[in-house]
Amino acid sequence: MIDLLAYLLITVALLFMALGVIGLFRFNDFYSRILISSKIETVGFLTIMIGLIVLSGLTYATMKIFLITLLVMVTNPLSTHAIARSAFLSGYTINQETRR
Amino acid sequence: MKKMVHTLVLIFIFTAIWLILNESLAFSEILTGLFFSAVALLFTNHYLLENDYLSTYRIKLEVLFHYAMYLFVQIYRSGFLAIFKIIKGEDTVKIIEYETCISDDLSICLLANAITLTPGTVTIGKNGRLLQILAFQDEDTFTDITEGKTCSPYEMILRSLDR
Repeated sequence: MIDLLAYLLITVALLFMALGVIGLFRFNDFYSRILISSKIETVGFLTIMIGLIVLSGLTYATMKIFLITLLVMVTNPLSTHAIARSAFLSGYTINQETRR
Repeated sequence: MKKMVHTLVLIFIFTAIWLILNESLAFSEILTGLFFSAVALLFTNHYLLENDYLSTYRIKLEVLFHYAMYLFVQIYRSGFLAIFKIIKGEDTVKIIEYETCISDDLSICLLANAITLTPGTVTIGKNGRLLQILAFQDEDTFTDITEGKTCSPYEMILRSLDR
């Protein structure tokens, strides 16, 4: 039963990631793409890690996964922030007419 | 005395991380963990930070837990809202200038981190208390500085960290 819940969570995470990838192709504007990519790296990643924690049970592996999740949650926004900021400072403008 | 208690708490947290990474609860491992935690703390205090570690990273655990829980809910809420945007193809975005209600620099950094973690908003600039936020057009958690000052729920929680 626990395994089933874990696999369900991992499947949901993969669905989140798949939808994020669809969003990347669907949107043409750089800024809207970066907003959608943050969905993949937070919601998808978080759900897959919760799934792995449930699957591992109460072991050292679970605690390691938890530590990795905390570390990624603190450091991951930095890359998104750096990319978005460099584009903004380089003069990238918001293009509202790029939707297909 | 209070400083010593905080230092000991930090050393115990670092030792716990050491034990998890080494997958062992042996006495020798606990001693090694305590030693390296103390050395890491001393090294950080003397060579990496301008101020003391405890004053730079003074975070109340209960506030951090409350904040993490709120952020967790918001991440999923925004994640589901983003799915509808992908399906509908709503890709209009805006850049807003937002002045925070909090004054502590660590709290502002935590807020900027939370904004980027939440799907649909990314912090692209920080100048003191002024944050530049990239968001979808219908985002209303953060309002532009021109629309009047309001405090977001994130800040209401983080205010407790203000010194």
